[in-house]
Amino acid sequence: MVTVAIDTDVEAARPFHEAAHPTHPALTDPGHTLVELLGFTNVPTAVWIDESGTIVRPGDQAYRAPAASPPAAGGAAQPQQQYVPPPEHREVLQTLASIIDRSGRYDDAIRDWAAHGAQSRYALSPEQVIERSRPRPPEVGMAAAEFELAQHLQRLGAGLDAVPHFKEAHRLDPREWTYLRQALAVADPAWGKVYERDMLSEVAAVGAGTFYAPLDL
Amino acid sequence: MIVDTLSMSPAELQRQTGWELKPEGACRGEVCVPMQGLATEGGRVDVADFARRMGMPLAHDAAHGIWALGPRSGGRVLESAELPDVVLSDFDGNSFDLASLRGRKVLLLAWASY
Repeated sequence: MVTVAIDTDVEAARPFHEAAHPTHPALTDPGHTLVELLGFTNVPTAVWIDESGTIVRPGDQAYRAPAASPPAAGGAAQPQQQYVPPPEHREVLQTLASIIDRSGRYDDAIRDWAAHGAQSRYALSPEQVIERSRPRPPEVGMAAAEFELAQHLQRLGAGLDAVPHFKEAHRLDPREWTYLRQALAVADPAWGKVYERDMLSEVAAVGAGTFYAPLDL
Repeated sequence: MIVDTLSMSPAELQRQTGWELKPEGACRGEVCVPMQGLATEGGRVDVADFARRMGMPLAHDAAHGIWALGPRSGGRVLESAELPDVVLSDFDGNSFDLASLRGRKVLLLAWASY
């Protein structure tokens, strides 16, 4: 297992990293390099690579429902506060919930590959891996360039100057959800409202079905 | 990749992009892209012309005087199933080359704080 935090602000990912106490290589990718190289459109995503360095599955949604909230420091359990979404978000959330796989099929597939390697029916051929990877028409390539400018400026401390480039990346490639999720995560409230819509409204506008691809095993 | 000039020596172009200019074109590994008529001036390459011929988009931030040279476009993200060369840092700043994992099956999990 190798984990990679696709976070322009590494410090935002650090608390999760430290809480997990990983014993596997736990890497950072502030430049979102893997998004450009492998083409997955959201996180969490899992990629399978065999012993020879060949990709056998180029990217599956790997979302897991969060565990119950841990007790607060001091031991007292926090009262469960139920999130009630506004009406315009409910349909989007229902669609997202229906896409996420809760069956355990993916974990079973991973175990099958671990046991059987290339003989596993879940291991794809190189041709299948290439075919499953994302098309990259010119606007998607330009979106990647705009995002690279945005995250570079953000890391330089010029976050407000990065906003037009984050917006352009999302406009050109609205299905690449890591762009918008990252942009909103680093937006400073002191800037005021620089993004027109919140995340769920953006998802509703593009289509909740694009947020996570259904598992295709 | 981020560049701060659109005029580069061939050596700088190779250092920044990984593409080496040879008589047969711009080459990286076993791939060569024809570059006949590539705009140059005083031995320096016009990076915008190079990018156009490579199918690489060029995004610009005028205020900061920088460009981002995007990935080659027009096909699919993966041209091969071989894991690209990637070196990333861990949370302590130590470099880690994904190629060092050869010999083992790897489940790479991309996640984020957002």
